Amino acid sequence: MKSVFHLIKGDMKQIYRDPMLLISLIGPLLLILLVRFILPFATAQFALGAYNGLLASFFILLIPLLLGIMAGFIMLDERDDKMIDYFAVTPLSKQGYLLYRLLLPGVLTVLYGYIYLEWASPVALPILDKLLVTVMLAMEAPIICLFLVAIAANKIEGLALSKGVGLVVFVPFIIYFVSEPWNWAGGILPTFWPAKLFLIEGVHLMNSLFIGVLGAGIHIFYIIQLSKRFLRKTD
Amino acid sequence: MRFPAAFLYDIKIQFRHGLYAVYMLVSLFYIIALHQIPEQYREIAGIFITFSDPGVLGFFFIGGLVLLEQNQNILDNLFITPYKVEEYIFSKALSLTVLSVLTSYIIHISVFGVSHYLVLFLVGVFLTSMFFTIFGLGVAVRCHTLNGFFFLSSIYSLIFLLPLLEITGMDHFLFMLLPTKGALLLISSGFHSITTWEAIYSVVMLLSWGVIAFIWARKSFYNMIIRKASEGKTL
Repeated sequence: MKSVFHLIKGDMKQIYRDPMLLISLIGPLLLILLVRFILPFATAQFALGAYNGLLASFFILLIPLLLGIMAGFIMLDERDDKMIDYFAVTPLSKQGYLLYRLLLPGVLTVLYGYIYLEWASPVALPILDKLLVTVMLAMEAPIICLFLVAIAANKIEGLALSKGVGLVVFVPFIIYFVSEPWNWAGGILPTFWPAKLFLIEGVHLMNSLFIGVLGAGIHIFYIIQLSKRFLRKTD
Repeated sequence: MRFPAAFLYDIKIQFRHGLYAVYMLVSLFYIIALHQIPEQYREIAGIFITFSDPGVLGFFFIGGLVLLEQNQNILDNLFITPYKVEEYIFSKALSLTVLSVLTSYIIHISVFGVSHYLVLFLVGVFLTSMFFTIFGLGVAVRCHTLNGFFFLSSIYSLIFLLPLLEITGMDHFLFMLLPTKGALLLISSGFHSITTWEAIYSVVMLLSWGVIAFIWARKSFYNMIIRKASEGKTL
């Protein structure tokens, strides 16, 4: 517990020194304000009202993407600086370090996701769907972060990957524009599942549960596999 | 033969770290996306995408490349050798510009076909990328972390992005003084003809800003890297 406290204290100092962390707190808020106040104006202007579900699912995916990439960049820097080797020999351990680094973007995503769904989203979801979307989103930021650090050997590869991984936020467009049985192929990507909850026709309890549970399972699968890979890689 | 060797080595590094692979994927995405956009908006989207992605990709990656070389302590020792700072800056900028020009060309001909104005278009991408990469290098030597670089670079580059507002219909005569105006004009020559004067203005503008960026980046490099290294400080 004490070791975690030291990390938090270090991060607080870091926020002061490295303003990007502050931006990671402000960035999603700006996004939420944009969706709340500017998006309705734009949809009215260009008659995009029919695409509200699509836009809602696209913008909410930007929250875990932003937070995940930032956490990933922190870890890439710390690994290139050999900091992770230091953490590994403290009581925190490498697993503890990983957990801490992944928890923060996850928790922040839940917070921002909640504000987004309750206050900014152009479409209102039923309560069960909101819950399922939040659970999946909370795992998405860690997945994106893990993807960067588990695959990339150094920060430049991480940068390149961040460019590629950003494309997953366009998965809602696949769901929307590719016809019904075929768009399920997008299901191998985690972002497919929360977006699907925004885009299914009608409200069916069983449909939501099916998508939510299967989606959450796929998220967990990614987290476990990528964590293993990361821990192996930094040995 | 020092410069060609350094230049080829930079390209090799970028290839090995996945920049070319990621840009194959990103280009494919843009090609598909541009084909989906209604024809009346496709041209403006093409200009915007060419500028904001392949055009300035060097700005995005130079941060990672410089930070990684700082980590690996390459920069402390590199300039003890006859290798000059000027050569270093040019080699980095030119190598990233190769990727810019290549991807812009591929995206353009895949979506809009081959037109006889492409030479001017590619000159535009070339000069845009050279300016932004050299400018990014000047920012990168001031930073110690990736997130720090992206924060600082977004502050530094904000003013250069102002002319993008003309896409929304906002314009200002002072934008004429920024290199971005020239960049957008030259890039738009791939879609419709521009006057000779517009072409001359754009090239002169981008070249002048390129020279300013180079002088600034070189000075920053001496102040932030060489002087510190010669005083025996760690970077």
